[in-house]
Amino acid sequence: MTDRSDIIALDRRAFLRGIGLSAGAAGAAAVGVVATQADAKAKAGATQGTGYQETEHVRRAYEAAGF
Amino acid sequence: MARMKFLCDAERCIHCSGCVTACKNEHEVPWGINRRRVVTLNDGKPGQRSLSVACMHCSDAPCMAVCPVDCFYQTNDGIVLHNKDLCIGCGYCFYACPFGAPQYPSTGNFGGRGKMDKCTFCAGGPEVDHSKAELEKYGRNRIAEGKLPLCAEMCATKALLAGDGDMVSTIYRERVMARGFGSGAAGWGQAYGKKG
Repeated sequence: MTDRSDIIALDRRAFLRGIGLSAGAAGAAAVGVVATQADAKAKAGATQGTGYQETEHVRRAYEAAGF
Repeated sequence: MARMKFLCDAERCIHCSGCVTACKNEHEVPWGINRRRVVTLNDGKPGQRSLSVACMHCSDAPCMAVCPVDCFYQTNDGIVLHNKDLCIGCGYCFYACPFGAPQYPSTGNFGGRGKMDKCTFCAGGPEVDHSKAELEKYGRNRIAEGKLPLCAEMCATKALLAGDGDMVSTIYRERVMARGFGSGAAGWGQAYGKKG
């Protein structure tokens, strides 16, 4: 009887068989591209959003902290 | 440009852990992770003090310096945030941080820790503001709502201050001037009619 973990293990073996050295190099390059894209997204995230604003709520919080 | 800072007034902190509870509840932080915690110095000795500690959002953050995948970034307000999609859970930031701020959700085979989690100054992460993804990964984004971190807003004695560094230092300076310092902070000056 084949359970779920066996299927996963076989799939992994098939995957490993399928990749050779050249495919591995191509994969590494692809990972590099993905990482670069994600990195760019993270960098872009640094500037997004409204950020800190001194709203009425914040001013009241400062007043409360000043007692 | 405002620069966000935390400051814990050790003369006021009563170790109630309200800040810890507020943080965990607001951001639905999972079991085993405390983005903020209260530490006691000189426990049981004269001069015992409690301090609420979390990520201090360092200006020159060591976690940023050591991260091998460069997943940290600093907002224009000086808040140090990270991208959980890039984090590989290596733990370098944990070793580098002098405050022990980075936390990991799990321990597993081969030392797998999961994605790092830390205080975000209630400013979310790189996802779109108020999105479901941001809430799940980083917690609520109170800064974008025009508010301050909940830990500081809920502090009963206002020991924990958060916000614009200039404002925080002004509030703290006024406090110290009013209450004195050293033995004066414990009411000595008032009791004997002198300051300091």
